[in-house]
Amino acid sequence: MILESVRRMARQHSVSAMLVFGLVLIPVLYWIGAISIETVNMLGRYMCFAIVAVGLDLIWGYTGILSLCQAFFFSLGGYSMGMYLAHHGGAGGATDPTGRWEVPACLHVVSSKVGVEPLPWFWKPFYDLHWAVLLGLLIPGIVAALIGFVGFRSRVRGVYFAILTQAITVAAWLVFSMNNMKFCGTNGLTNFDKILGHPLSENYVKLALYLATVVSLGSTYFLCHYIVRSRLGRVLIAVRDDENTLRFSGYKPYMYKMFAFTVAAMLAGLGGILYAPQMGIFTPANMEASASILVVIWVAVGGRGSLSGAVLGALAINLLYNFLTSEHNFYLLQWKPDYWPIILGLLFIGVVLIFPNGLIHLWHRLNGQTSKDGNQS
Amino acid sequence: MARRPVRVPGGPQAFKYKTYTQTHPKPEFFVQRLCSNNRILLTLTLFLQVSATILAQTNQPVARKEGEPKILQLMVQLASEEEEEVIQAIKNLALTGDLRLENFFDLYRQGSVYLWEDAPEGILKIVVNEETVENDDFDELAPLVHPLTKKPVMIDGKQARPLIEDLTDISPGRKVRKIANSSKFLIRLASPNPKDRISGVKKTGDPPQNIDAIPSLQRIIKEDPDEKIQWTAKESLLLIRLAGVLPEQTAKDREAAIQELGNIKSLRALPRLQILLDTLNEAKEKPEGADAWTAAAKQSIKQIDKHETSVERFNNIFQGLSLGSVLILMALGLAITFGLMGVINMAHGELMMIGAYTAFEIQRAFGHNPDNPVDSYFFVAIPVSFAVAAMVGLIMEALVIRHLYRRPLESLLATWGIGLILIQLVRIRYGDNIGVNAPTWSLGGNEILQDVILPNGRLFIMLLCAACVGLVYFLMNKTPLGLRMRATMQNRDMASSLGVNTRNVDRCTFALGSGLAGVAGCAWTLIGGVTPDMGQNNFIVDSFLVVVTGGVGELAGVICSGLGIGLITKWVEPLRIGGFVVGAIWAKVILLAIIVGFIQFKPAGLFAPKGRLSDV
Amino acid sequence: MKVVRTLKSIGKLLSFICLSSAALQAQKSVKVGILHSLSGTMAISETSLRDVVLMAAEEINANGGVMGHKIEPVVVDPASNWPLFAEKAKQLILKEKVSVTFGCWTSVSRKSCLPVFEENNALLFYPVQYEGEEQSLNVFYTAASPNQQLVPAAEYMMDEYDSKKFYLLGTDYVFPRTANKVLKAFLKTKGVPDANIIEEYTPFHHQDYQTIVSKIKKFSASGDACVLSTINGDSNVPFYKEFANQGLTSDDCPIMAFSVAEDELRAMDVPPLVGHLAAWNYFQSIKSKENKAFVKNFKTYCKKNNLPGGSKRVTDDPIEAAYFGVYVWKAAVEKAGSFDVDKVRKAVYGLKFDAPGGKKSMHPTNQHTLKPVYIGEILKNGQFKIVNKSKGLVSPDSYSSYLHKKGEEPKPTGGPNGDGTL
Repeated sequence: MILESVRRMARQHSVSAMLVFGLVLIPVLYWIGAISIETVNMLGRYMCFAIVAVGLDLIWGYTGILSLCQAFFFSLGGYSMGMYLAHHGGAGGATDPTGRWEVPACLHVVSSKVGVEPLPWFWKPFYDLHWAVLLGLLIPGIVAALIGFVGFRSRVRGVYFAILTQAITVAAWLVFSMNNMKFCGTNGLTNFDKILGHPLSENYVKLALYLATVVSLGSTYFLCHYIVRSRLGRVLIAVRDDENTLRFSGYKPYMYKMFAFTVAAMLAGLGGILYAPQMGIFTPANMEASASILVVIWVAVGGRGSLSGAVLGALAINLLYNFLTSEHNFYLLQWKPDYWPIILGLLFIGVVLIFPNGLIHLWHRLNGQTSKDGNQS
Repeated sequence: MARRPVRVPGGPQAFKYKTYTQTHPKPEFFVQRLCSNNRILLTLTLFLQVSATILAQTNQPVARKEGEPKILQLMVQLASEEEEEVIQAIKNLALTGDLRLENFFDLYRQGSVYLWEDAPEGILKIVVNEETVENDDFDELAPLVHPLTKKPVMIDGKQARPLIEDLTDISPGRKVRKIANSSKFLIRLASPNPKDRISGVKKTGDPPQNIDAIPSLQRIIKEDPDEKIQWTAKESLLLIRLAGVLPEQTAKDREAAIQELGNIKSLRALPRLQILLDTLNEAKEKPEGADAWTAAAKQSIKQIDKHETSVERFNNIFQGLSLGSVLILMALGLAITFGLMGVINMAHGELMMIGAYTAFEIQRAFGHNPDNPVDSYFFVAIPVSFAVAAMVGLIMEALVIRHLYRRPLESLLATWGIGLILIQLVRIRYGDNIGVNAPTWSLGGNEILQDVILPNGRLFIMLLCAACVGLVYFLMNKTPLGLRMRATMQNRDMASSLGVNTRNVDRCTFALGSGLAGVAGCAWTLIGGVTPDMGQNNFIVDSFLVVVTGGVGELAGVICSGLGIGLITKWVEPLRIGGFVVGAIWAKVILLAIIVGFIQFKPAGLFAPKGRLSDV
Repeated sequence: MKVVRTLKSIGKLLSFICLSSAALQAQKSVKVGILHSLSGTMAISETSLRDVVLMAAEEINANGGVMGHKIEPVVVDPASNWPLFAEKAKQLILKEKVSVTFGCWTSVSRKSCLPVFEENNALLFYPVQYEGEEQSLNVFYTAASPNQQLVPAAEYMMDEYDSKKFYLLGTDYVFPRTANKVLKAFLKTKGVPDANIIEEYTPFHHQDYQTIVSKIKKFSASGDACVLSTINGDSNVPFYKEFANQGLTSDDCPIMAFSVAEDELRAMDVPPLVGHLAAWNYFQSIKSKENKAFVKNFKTYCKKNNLPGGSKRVTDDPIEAAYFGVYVWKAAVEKAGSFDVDKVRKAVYGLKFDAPGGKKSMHPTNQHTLKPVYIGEILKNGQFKIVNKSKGLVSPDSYSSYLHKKGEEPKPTGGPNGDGTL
């Protein structure tokens, strides 16, 4: 009993430790000059991915729904924020024929006609930051609720649901990539300049965005933690483990699935909202089919069915990816960037074969814990 | 080669050309000479010998009417200051019908032809130089070749190399260049090669219509051994008459041409007739016969439109079937590895890529290249691709997949990793740019009905697809192995307890699925390109869509969904809704929307598995 | 043999033996960044550019370096991932402190890392033909702007082939869109009616061109049509194959391509392309001593370093542009007597230099390069026969004169003050 609570403490503390690390240690390191603002910025962006991963873990790890459209939801959030930033972007735009709106540079460049075309209606709400953030959360939520409603009601599940969501992502990617859809085509939203009047290139803005991301990630974690520990969470796990029995017990699984799917989508949207200003560009490449698979891979490598695992997976893979795509001169090995896909591939295979519950499981084992909510095989 | 300057004893001034003014070569001889000169035509020797006899009988002026000196003399006029004279010279040259002039005209247009005024006596005045060389004194020298034979111009047993300054550049102006270009087609009318002849026949009827071609066209209509060429010549002649460029053409004649074009349902005439209608409508002063033309043109347009619609409909269906069979071939292997075994094989596309690269290696081993086609390589490449991809599949199975049969969703992760590794290994080994040359028989197509062309490559893929489906069906349903496969996949433990070696069956099934992917990759080289990441870019999403829409675990499902997706895509793509043409991108979006909607109604695909399997 | 080679490459990969003897570098060195994708979809084109930049660096080092400094190239792989371009650019500029970067291929990758270069006032040499509509003081564009490739090619089709109808076919991204915008504006000035222009786009990696070729066939039935193609990358193969298979030839309807060069032709089944055209500022088949030496050096370099393709490698327009970019930078550094970005930039303006394809020069103000324009006809061996050459060098427009009124072009961006002023 006592041992159990100590373990729980340790687990709780590992999360708090991570938070302290993100909120205090990194800024301190930056202030004393040990790491550059670019490293902070990079960590911030990867934490945005971690938010998306936590969302996916909620529906995949806990509810058992494999979604291949998290990148789409992420992009919906990213586009909302990106449109706001483009509205307040750098030089190169033009005044539209009505004279009331400025057409952002990135949109003006890809217009298919000579001269300035009027600003499309769907750009207008995103002029204001509040609306942009609100819509960036709501749009993915509504889209997910719709997909979930039609999909889960007709009991599409397993691989079928995964392929369904992938089809939606591919279709959305095609639409967003089209130049004449006025989403700026494959070049995407570029030429960001200011957020609320503060220039994005300034270090303090980057630090502030980073801190906002850490806080968001922490809140996301605790929200999902709360959800999975609640009664609701137990139903979700029941959906994962035996949906038919649950339905026979009088529950309506589709309501629960829809709820989890919508929450995950909104979290992905939140990730996108925070990602756009830190990245400085937002393109449809963010919603390619492979991007969604990558999210799944983060979660799987980190540890499916463990929220901290999802965070760990997202951060670890992205840092590794970033590291391996440069030339390095190790003591004995001249590392060439050409080799990174092989290492990454081996990592995925290794994780699946050796640590089927993800890297976090390894951590737990080292801590002498057994993962209680680890996925079933 | 008999045309080389023959060395006559008596010094450099004694060069003379052996001429053919007295000895007009017989057609057979001409054909043989042509073949020995032109390596590309070697393969045509057989055909040419046959046609040579025909030519001999019909006395078709394939061979030069004029001797070579006459041609060379005409060429000198190209150096004239007067544009008119130059144009006349080009026309006269074209009318000689010497096939070698086509190449000469190309060189002339590109400015490689020079006038050598100070040429020693007996040496050509018009010479060709494509590339200059520098000697030790940094003088730019121009090694010369003969304008017709392309043999070096010899002086003293050495190639003539005057200073480039001594040559006069006679490169033509824009107007002359155009005429030289269109004269090229006039020459082709006399070509013994049907491909060249048909291109000549076609282009002489296109604007700017070449009146000089009329006699040749008329002759071809009567005498050409190829019906298609005869027909095209007729069409071209009518188009020339339609254009109204003939001197002293009557209004009646033009009207007759318009009507006749409608009767033969000439697609090429359609835009011309429409332009004619528009101009007649807008014209303030109607020319003589305008009303009759308008009426005839309207009637003809109606006829041709009808024909065009049916051709388009047929094309749509064929293209849909063709796309469908490509999709089926792509998805067939996946239908086994994913559909039957439940492995979410994200490396399926990479197995296809391996098949395509195998085809490349086999092609290299056979020494096949565009200049030296060894078409048989492809029939070896298909089984070898199967074997290589199956081997890779076996290795994958043994190392990774076998641990994951009970964890299907994790197979996604592992196979994705395998895919990444395969892509990069191939990239490191081959780099990115390799070209697989399709065998020559797969190029081009057959015109089965007027204006309906079925491309050989696509027909072959349809056949291959049918064969693969047939074989898989046979293997699954008619052989003991197939029985064991199905048993294992339906209930592994039960099958095992009945004495089936499920490990072996797993290996075989996965290897079969992988091998089929290899065949698909090999076939793909006929119609598409080969890159290391072709699997991720082109195949993986589509293959999964086909399998899932069809229903996991059913061969019939894959066929239906593959053909369905193909037909719908090709039906939607050319649609025109108002002023909006659907196009490739929207067609794909619409298709995806249809599939999403479809999955709502059939959550487990077209042919949903029944019983125990349904709860996967 | 093959097995041995495969084993060797695997062995090379796995062997943890460092061959680069960390020789004590007594000589001073200067770092330059190479920002080209070595994996992912763009690797097909970009790997060659990395190779040629490394070759140029090696050549320069062998001849004493830049102002006595040895060039030390830093290679990174942005993996065809647009955000990673920005990431890697940051790494090169801030961590590695490179003096100059050579890199990018697609417009979106350039747009992605442009803010990084502008924020840090660093220098990028961009070697690929692009859509224009950009003029950053932190970038030197060594390849063609639209008026150096598109307009002369369209003019050629009208003059030589008597083309009156134009099918503008492209992959749906910003270069084809802007290119076609320029082309349409140009054709309009030449009196081509709207009905004679069709514009169509396909997604990236599109593979099924049956319907489009049928449309082209219908469109070109009148015999005076041509295709102006901005199809990108791997879509070209199925397009040309389908074109030939449906019975169309370059006589019926010539295709003028703006994105097919020798390096891409290596990856294609060439016979269906023979006779079609492409417009570039350089072809491997340019006949000059310098070019022959360049081609030979490149092949030798690839062979010596065991790069895929070896001596079968070819040079093309972007490869030449990437190559002479290094020499332009070297010349500018030597002229300025400093590696300082602002001084180097000033030295580049108006610089005259010898490139493999002949003498060229940098524009005195607008960051682009004055280049000749060539039209080439595709030959069976994957090379081009040059059929037309512009008279002299064509001056670049950073903002197309067909899209902007004179004097109303946008101002440059970036630079030492971050506002487009020098």
